[in-house]
Amino acid sequence: MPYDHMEIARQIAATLAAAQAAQVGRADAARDAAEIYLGTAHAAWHDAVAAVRSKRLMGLPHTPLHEFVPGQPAAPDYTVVATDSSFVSPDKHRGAHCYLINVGRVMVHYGEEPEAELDSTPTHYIDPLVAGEDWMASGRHLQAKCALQELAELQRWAERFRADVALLDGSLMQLGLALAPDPEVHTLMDAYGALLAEFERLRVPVVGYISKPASQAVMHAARLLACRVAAETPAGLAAACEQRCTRAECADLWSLDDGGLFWELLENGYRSPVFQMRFPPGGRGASGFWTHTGFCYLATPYEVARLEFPLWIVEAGLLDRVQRILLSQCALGEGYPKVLTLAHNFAVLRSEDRESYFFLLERAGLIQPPSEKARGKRATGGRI
Amino acid sequence: MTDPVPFPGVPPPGPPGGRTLLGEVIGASYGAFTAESYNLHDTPPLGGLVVAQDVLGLVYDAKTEGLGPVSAKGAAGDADGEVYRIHPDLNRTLRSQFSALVVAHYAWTAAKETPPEARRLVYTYPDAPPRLHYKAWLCADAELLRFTERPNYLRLLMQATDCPVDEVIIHVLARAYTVRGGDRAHLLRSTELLGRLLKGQYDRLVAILETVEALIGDDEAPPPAPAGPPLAPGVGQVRV
Repeated sequence: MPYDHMEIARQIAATLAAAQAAQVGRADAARDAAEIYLGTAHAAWHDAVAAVRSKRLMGLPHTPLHEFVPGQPAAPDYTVVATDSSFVSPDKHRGAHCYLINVGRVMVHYGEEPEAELDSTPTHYIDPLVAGEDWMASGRHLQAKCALQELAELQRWAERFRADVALLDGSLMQLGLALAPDPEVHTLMDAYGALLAEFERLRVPVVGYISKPASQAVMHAARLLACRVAAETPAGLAAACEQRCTRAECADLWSLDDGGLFWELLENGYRSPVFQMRFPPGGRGASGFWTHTGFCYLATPYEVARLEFPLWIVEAGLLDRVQRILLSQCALGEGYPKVLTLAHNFAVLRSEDRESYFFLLERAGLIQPPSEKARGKRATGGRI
Repeated sequence: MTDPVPFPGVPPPGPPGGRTLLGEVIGASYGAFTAESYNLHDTPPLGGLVVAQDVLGLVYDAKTEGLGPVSAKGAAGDADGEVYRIHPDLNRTLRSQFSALVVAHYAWTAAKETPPEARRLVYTYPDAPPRLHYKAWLCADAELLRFTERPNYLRLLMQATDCPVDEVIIHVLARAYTVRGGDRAHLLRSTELLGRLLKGQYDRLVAILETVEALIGDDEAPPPAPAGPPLAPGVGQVRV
């Protein structure tokens, strides 16, 4: 039986009113959250977040809470480098234990003598991702290896082309990996942190650019400050909003993320204050490079993006230039930094690229017998 | 396969009148080959004579496309071409290609160093298509002169399908005329064969002849149409 799109159309129609009501609720929540944000003094925010005992990650202001910094797109007189990656993971059904990581690299120089360099650099790996062929864990390991390789190539090109900004697609902090209970991933992330420090030696600002961020770090703090339990009970800070709160004054705030809050707060071209992440005490995030990393939000004419970067960039006074270059890049890319789109295009592996990799593995005798599931799918004309 | 030299005995481009390096072959069959230019927009003219290895082709198509979808990047107020300065990556993410119909080849000789001018020019397909990733060149004027000396290339051209073959004929006839400094007698000899090959296709022949005249922009009288057998009465007997 093929996919029943008529059934889905019926379900969408039946739930449309509820979905539209939720959208209105989010708009109201954004206004409420903005009021909380603007009505809270820097010190009060800082003290509340620093004191709370919570497992949640929260935003601790590193620059004044109400300081929104304007910016204009940079003139075309800069050099920017960027990387992105994609991979072919090991596939037990196809009997392929090897894997491949492809990093797309881009350099564009804007100015009197404009030039560009674009390529991709693929690497074939034969070592098992994890001991004992733990296929579930291998996804995290592959992700960590990709992050490490992207950063290594970015550092090479940042040094080679003396870039003004080095851009990564997505998170620089890699919190999902950093907080994973996995010693092998932690080893890879330690190498990642060491590599990140190289950018300070080069004095090249390295920035992770996250489009449509889903982070809740600032909103968790806003909800903490809005929480009646936290305000009214002596031990409130210990228990405030640890669970998803259903009280009327909190419930709507849970429908909002940081992007929604700063879309309400920031005008076009402005950036938010810089925040540091407050990690649960004693956890892995409380040490390592994360303690020297900050983030802020940037309102482009198209969306609010999240920027993650080492804090030395702020201390060196380079964040204003980064902001201007990113606004220029978003204008050139009509919403998303042009160099990141290019890096993605050079990193992406199409289905025929994957097939050619498996073909080469097969020709080299590196393919084990496929699974019965794969055989079954192939026998009925499906892709495996 | 061990010889990386694109054509035995042919030096790289440099001196005026020599071959011009354009790009390298990315697709080839007996009947046609396609090459990608090393430099953006550096494509040979329509009807231009190109060579890859020892295979000669006449250009019938050229295009520039993006690695992904191409959309407008500039603004109405920008000067023409300014977009390439605003978006330096365009020079790397766009690529130019051209395709040529195979119309002749230089005959194989045991001595690889034999230059093309000392080898027989044969108006038929080669034993094998040019190899992928070998270099593609725009031929020197001397080669064009030799190639168009006899119009035998028209026979293979007329067999081509799915391409603007009449336009290729028009441009190569005009090019042969120009490279000879306006040799009308030579043009006449070429159109005589064309008239035979287009026997029964009067309107098509007239359209080609008229367009050649318009293209060469010569004020002289048009070439007299070929007469006598085996032309059908009236073929080529036109005022253009």
